[in-house]
Amino acid sequence: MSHLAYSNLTLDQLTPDLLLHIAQYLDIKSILQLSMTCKRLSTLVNDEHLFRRLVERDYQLTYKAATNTWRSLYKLAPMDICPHLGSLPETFPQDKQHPQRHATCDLCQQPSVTYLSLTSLDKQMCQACVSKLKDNQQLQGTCSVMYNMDGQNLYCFECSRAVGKENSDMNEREKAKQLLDQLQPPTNGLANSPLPKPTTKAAPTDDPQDVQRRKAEHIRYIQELRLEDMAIKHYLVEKNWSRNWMMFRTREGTPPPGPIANYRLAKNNGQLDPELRVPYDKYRPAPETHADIISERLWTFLVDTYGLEGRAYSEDMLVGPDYARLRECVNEYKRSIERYP
Amino acid sequence: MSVRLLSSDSEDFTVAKEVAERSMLIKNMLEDVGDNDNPIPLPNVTAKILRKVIEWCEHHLGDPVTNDENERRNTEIDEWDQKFMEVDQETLFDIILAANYLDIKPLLDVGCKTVANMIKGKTAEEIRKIFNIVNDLTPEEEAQIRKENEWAEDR
Repeated sequence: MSHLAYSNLTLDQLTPDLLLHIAQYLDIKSILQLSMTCKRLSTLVNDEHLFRRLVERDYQLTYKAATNTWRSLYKLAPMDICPHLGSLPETFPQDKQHPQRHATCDLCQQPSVTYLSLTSLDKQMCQACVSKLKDNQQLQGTCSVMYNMDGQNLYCFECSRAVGKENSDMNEREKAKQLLDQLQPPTNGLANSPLPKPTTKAAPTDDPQDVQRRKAEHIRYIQELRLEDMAIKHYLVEKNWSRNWMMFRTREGTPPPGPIANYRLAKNNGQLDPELRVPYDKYRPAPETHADIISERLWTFLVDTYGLEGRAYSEDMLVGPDYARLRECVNEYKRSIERYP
Repeated sequence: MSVRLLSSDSEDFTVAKEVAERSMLIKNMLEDVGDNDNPIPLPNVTAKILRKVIEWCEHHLGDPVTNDENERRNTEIDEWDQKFMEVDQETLFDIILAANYLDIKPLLDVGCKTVANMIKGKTAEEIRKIFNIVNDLTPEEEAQIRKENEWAEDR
């Protein structure tokens, strides 16, 4: 045992980062014994840097809830937390942030994508292709956590379960929420063509997936309210539909509305009915109107999300003597924001 | 291509460039100064330790670079390295310090693993003896640490 020879420099005099480097190779019992040798080394057993590495080494976990310490997480022996969530990027690439439900599957080219890989490289895949790959163990190598558009949640193919569910560990839940908050709810993608009805599920009205979607859409609506850029082109959206959307946004348990019902704004020939009543003040509710006026930004989002039955009517179409009255209402509506400093 | 290195006690070493470049510190220095005959001064490393470090770098010249964390967390040490690390404690710590200063990650790992293996499975008292550590904890402090970490004892 040549190591027993006397030394000028002793273990307890090494710098903290070297002590940490040594301790990361030890089991927790040995770390405890080491920290009971003297004051200097006793800090090891509370060292967050060390426990962070131990959690990663022993449980492959690289994330935790903000309110937790790495030490308490290690103490928990977190066997039931999905470690694979940690390998997703903190921030998703732009193009992944707006999942499109009816995009085509990268593998079979069918228009029914269910799973979206959230790393920059790969893919969106339909249920069938994912199961096939999974059975052949070909999903390895990519991050095993993907976004499930049907459930609007994250699914881990290594752990074979949805992650971040209500009954899962709080660290996992918080991490999953951080990641999901970056994603828009999936849109239907086929903007102006006739669409299958959006997911208006009749059954459980208090769907947890809807809660998040409701919140996100209400934030969009508030952005629209605050929007003061009236140079943006504005559109007419049918009032009853608009009311249903408002109910969905603001009342728990209300199902999302179907496609935008703009056909109700048309005369028999499909042209916009010039007799429509529309609001002429952005911030004062007008009773008995047939349509609301919204910015192109919101309009595009709504059409992408809900689809459109009938035609799009933008202010650009309000030309000619027939539409002079409507045109004036829209102008008045746009000017109204100046009355509220 | 060879490079000259100057130890803290002014001994001049000439080594192959690839050997010297196992040290990230030296590699970066060489990139900064370009080709040049002046020896690189290493004021933190004695000739005795530098000789050991060069021996290690020469033996591990062809090693593949491993970035795999799991690989690095593995505490096994290959036979040659075990023999290489059979030195007195002062030399062992000096090699660790030199590897840290010269930024030779795999050598630092081997050194730290060697120390970890000396600690593993020992009691606090045995560790104090091995490393010549003076216990400056009061019995109360010791009891406190033990109490706060009871959970770790049955892992």
